Amino acid sequence: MSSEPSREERDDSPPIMGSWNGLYAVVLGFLFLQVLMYWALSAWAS
Amino acid sequence: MGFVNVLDWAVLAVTLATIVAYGVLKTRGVKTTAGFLKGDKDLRWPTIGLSVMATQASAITFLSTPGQAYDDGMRFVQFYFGLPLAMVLISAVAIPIYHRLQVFTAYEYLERRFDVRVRVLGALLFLVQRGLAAGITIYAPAIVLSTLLGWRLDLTNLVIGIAVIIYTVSGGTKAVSQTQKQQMIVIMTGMVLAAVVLFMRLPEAVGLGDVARIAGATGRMEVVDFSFDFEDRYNFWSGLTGGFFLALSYFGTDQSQVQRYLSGRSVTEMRLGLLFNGIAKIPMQFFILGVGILVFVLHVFEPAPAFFNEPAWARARAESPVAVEGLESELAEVQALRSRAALAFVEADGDPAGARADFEAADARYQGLRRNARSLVANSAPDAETEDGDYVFISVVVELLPHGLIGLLIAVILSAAMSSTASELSALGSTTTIDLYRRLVNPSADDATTLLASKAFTVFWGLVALAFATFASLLDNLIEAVNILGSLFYGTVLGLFIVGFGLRRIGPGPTFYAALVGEALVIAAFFFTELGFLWFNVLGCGVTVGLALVFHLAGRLSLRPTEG
Repeated sequence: MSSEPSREERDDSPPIMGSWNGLYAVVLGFLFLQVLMYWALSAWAS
Repeated sequence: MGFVNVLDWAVLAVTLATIVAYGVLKTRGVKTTAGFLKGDKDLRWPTIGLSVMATQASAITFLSTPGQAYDDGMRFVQFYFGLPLAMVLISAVAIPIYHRLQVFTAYEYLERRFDVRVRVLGALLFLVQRGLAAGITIYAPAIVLSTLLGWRLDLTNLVIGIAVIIYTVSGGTKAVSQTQKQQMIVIMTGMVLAAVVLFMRLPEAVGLGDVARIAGATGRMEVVDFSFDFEDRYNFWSGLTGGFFLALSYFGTDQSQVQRYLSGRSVTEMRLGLLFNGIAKIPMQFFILGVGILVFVLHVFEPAPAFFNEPAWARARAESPVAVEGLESELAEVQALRSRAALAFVEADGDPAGARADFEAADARYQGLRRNARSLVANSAPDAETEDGDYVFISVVVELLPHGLIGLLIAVILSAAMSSTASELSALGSTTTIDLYRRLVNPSADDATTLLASKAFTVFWGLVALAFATFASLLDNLIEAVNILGSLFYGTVLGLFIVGFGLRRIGPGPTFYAALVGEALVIAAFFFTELGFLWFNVLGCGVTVGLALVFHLAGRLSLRPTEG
């Protein structure tokens, strides 16, 4: 069997950011931002 | 034990009854198997996202996590750093495949990709692990609430279990998702109100920045630690890698989670639901840990019990009255000293070095006395739990929060227990029906028979969970035992799916036998080695994937015609 996503599924774009890769980048960018904020908080409070 | 008054009971009863009634009424009239097991695939992403979060956040999350921050600080949040990565990978790879194959369960995919042996193996591994875990999801909060509030354990178990069975059997997976949305609203409202009330109880001079500085002076604000240490359970690297594999396995292959997003109306809704979890999960855990920090700082200024599990402490008092009295007296003295030092530290804004050192010294003495209290409990009641972290938050709730809010916070704990249990029962029922009953026992079953079987199996697993929760107290170290049990199977199941999704040339035979060997090795490692149980996940997954590759290559070599 083929488990490749169909063309329709690949083209199913998200309501924001224009593409799924753009939205994935937002999720991972938010993770990066949080790590940075928590690191800064650790440095400030400790 | 008169912590709960009429107002609390009213808030608790109305909240829980409303949620159960909402679940039943909103989803009445489910008449097909697809409606019962996939909610007619009409859910939007906010419901999916909240449902996924509510499934993962069990009652013990809200009982234990603040206690963890109280004792160990905020660093536990790093455990979730791998989760957003897993959400992205599942959204990109697994969801389109599940959607296109129109599967009811994750294990159906295994038959489409391999064969029925691999599917049944995956389903059985899930049923064993999740069947026992469902009992613990009920038992863990029930034991804490019954210990602290003097409730009957068996009745607490029954109330949680029966309420969940009613709406899960009535409305299926859609009822689970719809009630989880309400439950998450109750949970977050209750936790935010608790945080506000706790903050308002702090001395006027203490602001939010001071809370962080006081906790920071005791080492509790080391949120991110980039040092690499295999023996340190929570650091950036273990959170990113270990957390990634754990989240990949849990959200990508565990039917209790897969069923949540399979009921989405499109690939877009499913993906957005999971990505919402990827965005919101870490801030939510940070907030719950933050509540634990607030409790800690509040207890810097207001006396706390020497040991939060009151019945265990009472046993220690009965066994060693002089030692307990002496410790409590010294604790009160050090508490007053620590409170004064903390205020001086807050007020010495400009030159805090000396004030900070005084506070650190007072806190070190206080923590030493807390350790002595644990030793006293261990010596006087050897069978009692010597860690009291699970009791920290609920003790503060019943001792310090106003009536009405106490009822709401107990509703939070019970809602969390119900939301996780409902997902588990629904997933256990659907896996038993689809992967075993309809595949092996009665393949020609019509839709009405399959629907009836789904409901019957959901009730069956509910009763199994209740029985396990009722008799769980007969076992020692129960929660750890179930965690170990989960780790014995999770790695192998993840290995099956990784071979399925990632190594497309490998067929069913090599995969099936690799999984059997992998599982046997994990069980052997459990009995004959000292390997930490979290590593069983890596071992099971690694051996299954590695051996599937080896068996596949060996098979190809043996089929190659010999030369000459």
